[in-house]
Amino acid sequence: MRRLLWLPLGLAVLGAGLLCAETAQVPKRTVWIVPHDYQGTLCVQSGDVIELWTWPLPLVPDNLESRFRASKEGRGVELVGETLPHKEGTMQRLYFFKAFEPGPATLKVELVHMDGAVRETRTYQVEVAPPPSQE
Amino acid sequence: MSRLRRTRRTTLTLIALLVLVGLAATIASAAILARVRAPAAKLIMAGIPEKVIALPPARLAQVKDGKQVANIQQLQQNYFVRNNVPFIRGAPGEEFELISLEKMAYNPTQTEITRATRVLPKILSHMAYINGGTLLAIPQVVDHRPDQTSVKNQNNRGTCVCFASMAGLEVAYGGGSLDLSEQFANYLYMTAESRGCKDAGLKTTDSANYLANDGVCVETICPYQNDKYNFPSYCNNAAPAAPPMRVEAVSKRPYKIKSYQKIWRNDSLTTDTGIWINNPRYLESLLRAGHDIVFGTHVAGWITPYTGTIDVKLTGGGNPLPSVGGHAMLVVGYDRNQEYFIVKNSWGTSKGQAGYVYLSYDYIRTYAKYGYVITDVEPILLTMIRPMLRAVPMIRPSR
Repeated sequence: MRRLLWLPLGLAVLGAGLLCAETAQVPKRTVWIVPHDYQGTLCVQSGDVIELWTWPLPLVPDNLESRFRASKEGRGVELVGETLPHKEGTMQRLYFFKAFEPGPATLKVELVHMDGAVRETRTYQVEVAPPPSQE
Repeated sequence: MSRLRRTRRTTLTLIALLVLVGLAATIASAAILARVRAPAAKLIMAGIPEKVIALPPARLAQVKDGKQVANIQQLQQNYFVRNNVPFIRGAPGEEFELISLEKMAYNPTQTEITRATRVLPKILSHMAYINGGTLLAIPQVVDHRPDQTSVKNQNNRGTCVCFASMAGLEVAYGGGSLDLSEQFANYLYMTAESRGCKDAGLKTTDSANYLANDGVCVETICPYQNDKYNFPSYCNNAAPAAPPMRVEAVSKRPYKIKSYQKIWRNDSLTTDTGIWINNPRYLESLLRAGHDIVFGTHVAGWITPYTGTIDVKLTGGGNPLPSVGGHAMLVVGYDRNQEYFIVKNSWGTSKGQAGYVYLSYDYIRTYAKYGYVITDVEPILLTMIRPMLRAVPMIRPSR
């Protein structure tokens, strides 16, 4: 009877261990939070994520005809998503780039008017290094 | 023997510890996995009519003893049913929908009903008690615009939260000609967030916390600066010596929130129920209770000059237009027939309806983020006297 009591406990430990093993397989990554006025070269490793904040354009009638647009030059970096900060008063956006391959890249954020005219452009230099060898 | 027992106890402790660690890891990893897999889809909900009970006029005469009763004669004379929904006529052009408190999306407290009677005296006269249940006459239109202070203009600065929160605080202090300083509010918020004097936006609900911790002064002491690149020196946290104007602004700030109630969004809402910002019925009930709602919302599909009702617009794929950013405003009324909220904006009187915009119920369901109502404010005299009292040395009785 006593031995039977150990069974659920043992199963719980085993289950937890398996789940831990699954979580441990999730690759670790570094997220670089980059403010809009950053001017240096971003040195990242492949697998890292760059969270690029645009400038805080006020949300007022004069700006409602404009939109932010993000792009990249270079093979090693891809735009993987965007979101809005939990703030009111601005049209600020957060763009997420992921570094894949070693090499140089350029991130570009543009403020584009409805008619297609570009109001403002800012670029950010990135250097992607290979991931450290795991020994 | 005792050694064996000790060994057994140690083993048991170790196993128990392992189980605990294992369970913690299970919960943590489950949470991580759930977060990764959570769908981010958003739905537009169709307008769901509130259920009402249709009562024959004869039953309206059944009044429960010992409670304040409605004017039954008036109820019977002005009672009518349209589309199986009971209504009461008020003044010419006024109609009130009758709804049981039990069927409402949100039950106002007795304090709120009492407060509502101050703002809308007609509600009490149309309230009846039937078989122990309460019927509340719901006004089809609530419009607090006459109670508001003047519409302001934030110009080209991202200070909408300052304007929405000051508009809410002004009306909580009685409105009229009271003009509180948005410039000082911005200074207060940015200082609290250690951000200097930048216009980088603010989470709307955080302004309630800051206004409950610290008061603001009136506009004349600290006037608004239209030019975001030319902040006055008294609004510079790094200023080596505070100029006289800043000292005056900091010392005279008696306008402060005493209590507030925050309202959050529920993304999984499928019917108009619960105390959520995306439940129009709840917002209606707050407005009926005499509150105005400071709220933050996504902006999408707004077309200048914003005079018509702003509704949800869809992309080619049938989804709501994506947000271009967040904006804060003050909800001051509603129209149940036309299904829109009346919202005080801060873009001057030339935009919208003399500075107010109408947001459809579906817009609120889709884009409203969060908000709060100011339930009480600090008495002005008390906030002025308190610092003085602190400065007075305490006199202790001599032994």
